[in-house]
Amino acid sequence: MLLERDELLAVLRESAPGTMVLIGGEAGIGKTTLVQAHCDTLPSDVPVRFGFCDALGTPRALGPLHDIARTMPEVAGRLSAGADRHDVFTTFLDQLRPGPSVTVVEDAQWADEGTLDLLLYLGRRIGDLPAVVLVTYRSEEVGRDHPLRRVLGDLATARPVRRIQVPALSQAAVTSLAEPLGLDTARLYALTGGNPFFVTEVLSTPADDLPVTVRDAVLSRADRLGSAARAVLDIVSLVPDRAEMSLVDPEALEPCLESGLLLLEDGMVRFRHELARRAVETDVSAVRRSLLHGRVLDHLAGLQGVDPARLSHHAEASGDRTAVLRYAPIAARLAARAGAHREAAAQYARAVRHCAAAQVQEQAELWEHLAHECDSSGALSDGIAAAQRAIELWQSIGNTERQGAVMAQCSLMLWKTAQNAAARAMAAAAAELLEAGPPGRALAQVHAAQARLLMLAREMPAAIEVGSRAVELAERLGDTQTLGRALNAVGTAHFLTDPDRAVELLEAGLDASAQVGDDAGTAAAMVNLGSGAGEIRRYEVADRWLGEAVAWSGQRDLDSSRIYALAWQARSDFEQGRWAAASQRVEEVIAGAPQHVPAQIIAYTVLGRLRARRGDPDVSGPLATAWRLAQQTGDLQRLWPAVAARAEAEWMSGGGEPLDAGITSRVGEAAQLGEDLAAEVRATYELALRLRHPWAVGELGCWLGVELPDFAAAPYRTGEGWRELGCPFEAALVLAAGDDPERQVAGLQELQQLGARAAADLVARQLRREGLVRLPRGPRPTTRENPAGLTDRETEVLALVAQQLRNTEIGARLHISAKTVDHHVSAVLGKLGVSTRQEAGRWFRAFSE
Amino acid sequence: MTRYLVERTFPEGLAIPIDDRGAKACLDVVEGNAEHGVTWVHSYVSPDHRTTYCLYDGPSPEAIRHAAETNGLPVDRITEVRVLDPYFYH
Repeated sequence: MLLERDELLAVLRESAPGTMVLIGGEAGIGKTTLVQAHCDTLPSDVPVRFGFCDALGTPRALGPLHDIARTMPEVAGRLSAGADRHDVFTTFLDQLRPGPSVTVVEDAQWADEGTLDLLLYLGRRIGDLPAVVLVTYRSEEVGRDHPLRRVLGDLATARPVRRIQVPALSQAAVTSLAEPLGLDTARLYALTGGNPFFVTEVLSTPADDLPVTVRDAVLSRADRLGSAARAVLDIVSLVPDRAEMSLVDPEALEPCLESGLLLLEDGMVRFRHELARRAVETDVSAVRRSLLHGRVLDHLAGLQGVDPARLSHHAEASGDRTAVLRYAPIAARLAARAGAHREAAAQYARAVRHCAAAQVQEQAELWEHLAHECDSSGALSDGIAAAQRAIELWQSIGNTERQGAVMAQCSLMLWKTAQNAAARAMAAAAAELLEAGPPGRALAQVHAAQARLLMLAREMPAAIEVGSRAVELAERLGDTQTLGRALNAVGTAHFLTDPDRAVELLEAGLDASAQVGDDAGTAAAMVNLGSGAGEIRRYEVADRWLGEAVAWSGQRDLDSSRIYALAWQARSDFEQGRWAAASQRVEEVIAGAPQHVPAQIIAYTVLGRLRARRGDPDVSGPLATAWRLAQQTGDLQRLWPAVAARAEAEWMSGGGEPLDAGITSRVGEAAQLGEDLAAEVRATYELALRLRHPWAVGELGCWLGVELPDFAAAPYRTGEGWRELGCPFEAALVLAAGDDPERQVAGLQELQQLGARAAADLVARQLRREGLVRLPRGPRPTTRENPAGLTDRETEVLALVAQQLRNTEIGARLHISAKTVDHHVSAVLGKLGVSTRQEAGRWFRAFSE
Repeated sequence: MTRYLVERTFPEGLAIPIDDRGAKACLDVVEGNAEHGVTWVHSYVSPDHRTTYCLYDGPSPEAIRHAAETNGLPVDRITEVRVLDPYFYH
């Protein structure tokens, strides 16, 4: 009998195929019982698969999927073949496609990173599948910084994902259970808080023996089973999730199963409830605990196919250093291959805790791997610390090759944490170290890292010079992964001087990265093709690759690449006059990835400029944020748009003279800017000048009213070519700033069409001052005249409906079929939000008064 | 929430009947606003029904624009405003 769960069961019953249900509740509240009760009602031909996340300090990578794969040979095959994550996930999805099924993932609060990614992947795509996925988790363990929180947040807006909470039992329900046994129901309710597990645990102890605490209840019950049984419980309590039956004395297991404390499933033993396991575990003395872990380890180590993550767990708990060093690295490699970089890092971290007595070479390798996995999982400060330890160790045994390679990786991590100077110093030191010896792979990696750092700082000639050395060396050594990364840096660095060559090199880099399955490198190539072309206003190339980058990284859940490409799409939309689209993408970036600094800078810059041009309030807020973040990076590519946007906003609010300031070079006619802002524009201009960035020099030079150098982008020097580039705002302002009144009015109209009200107002004021009095008053889209948004045809039909004509009569008047009329009438009713023709008619008469 | 004054022009005039229909039309606007987290406080309408000054609470100017689009309403100008009355400083 399941008390007070009818509503929740109904929710599960009514979950249509293509739904994911997230079931939260405290431990012991009955999530598993609820799912079981639901699954018992399903037709027998619907497959139900369970996957368990376990409470290992460092969980098995994709543990639940391994459980599920027992009845999915295809998936099991992929997993054991060590296929990459995307391949495993798509195979799993394909297996869910043929017909209805239920997949249950239990205890997701303990999920490893790979499983969290799987849940995200499933949640985003479940809508197209005939499958139902049920996920249980302990809501009280999912705090603000819990990794599952991110998944819950990301899935919050996914349509096919529902969330339910399993509440505690009411006092009435507890009473109905306890009263027949003659127990003090009020006390029982107070003691258990309505938690069904506690309630049933307590109820199943003898009536005259009501324990003070539930923990005592569990323990006293355990002790009453006898010492042999208690020994079984002790062992099983130390094995998270499920224990092999062979671990324990079969005879002593019997009473544990009979009492209901333990359950037997597929030859595995587990506690019926995790709370009972914890109660027993905490009752085992510390000394005995580590001895028992040692026994478990010895036993499991002798079995076939035991997950090394489990062995590593028991090895550490038993204090067996040699075993930790044997199993933790294996578990780490498996986790990394499954894309669970956080778990891989945790395994390496476990290994380095126990490696003090190992050979220096082995220690250095472990720290190096730890650094790498921290980098992949975004734990940058831990990664930098680990890399520094590895560097010291490699240095101490004179292995310069390995030392240099770690320094290259460390330099890129330093850049990601905005320590740009330290990053470049580290890369330079690595290069110096390695150039003393014969050139090898490490030197190729170092040069690739140097080239990337230079390219990001827009030191293009230097980036090309160093990057080409990396390309040549990587090619000679057959290191395709480094080749891909190096081509990316060199290619991107070509955009300012030779865009066609840039595209060519980046596409070659893309091929190289794709060839070795370097997903992050592939995404980076697509993103740089898009953003590099965008930065020089080659929108056709930019839009194509940004679209590809968003789709490709979206499919692989490479969120950071996706969000950066999305931010660039917003910038491209904005510059090409697609302001509604730009505004929506900006919103998604700002809300979706607050920690991604470069994407935030782009999004806030676009938002500020958009508001300024539309004449909307709060321009300075977003622009101040963009500028603050841009200054942190110190990079021209961030500083230039942010400071130019501030100049534009100030120029606009100060009266907007000259009209084409910031667009056409007018020597000596600088826009009026405040002293501080002018100094910041000048400093950024000088940086741009030094780096010879044609577009940054052009835009910033125009704001300053200085004479532009020849290499500045042509439209800024001549005021021509904006329309050909696809920049309607700049083109319109150039028209409006001319001296032919007809063209000035045309420019004004274009600004009005764009919705650039603030700019249009500036132009109108100036034209009136010049004596032009007959100015257009702004665009009048038909919807403006018609609050319900009816089309002209619909309005015609509505007018006749209001005269109480029938569809055939209306059709005859308008020379269309009655069926078409009917179609228009439904559309009209829908838009007006009314249900009858009479209501629509009254609405029309009211409006046409 | 920020408060905004939204100016709108209706070249043909805005006529909302004072009956159930009119009430429904207003409630529809309220519903359309709700999708964007925007609240219509109230409006002032010029005697010729061609210009309205609408007070709104909303998260951002973009939300005000999205809501206007949903409701098929024009937007001329959005200004961020604060309340001031004769006894504000008392």
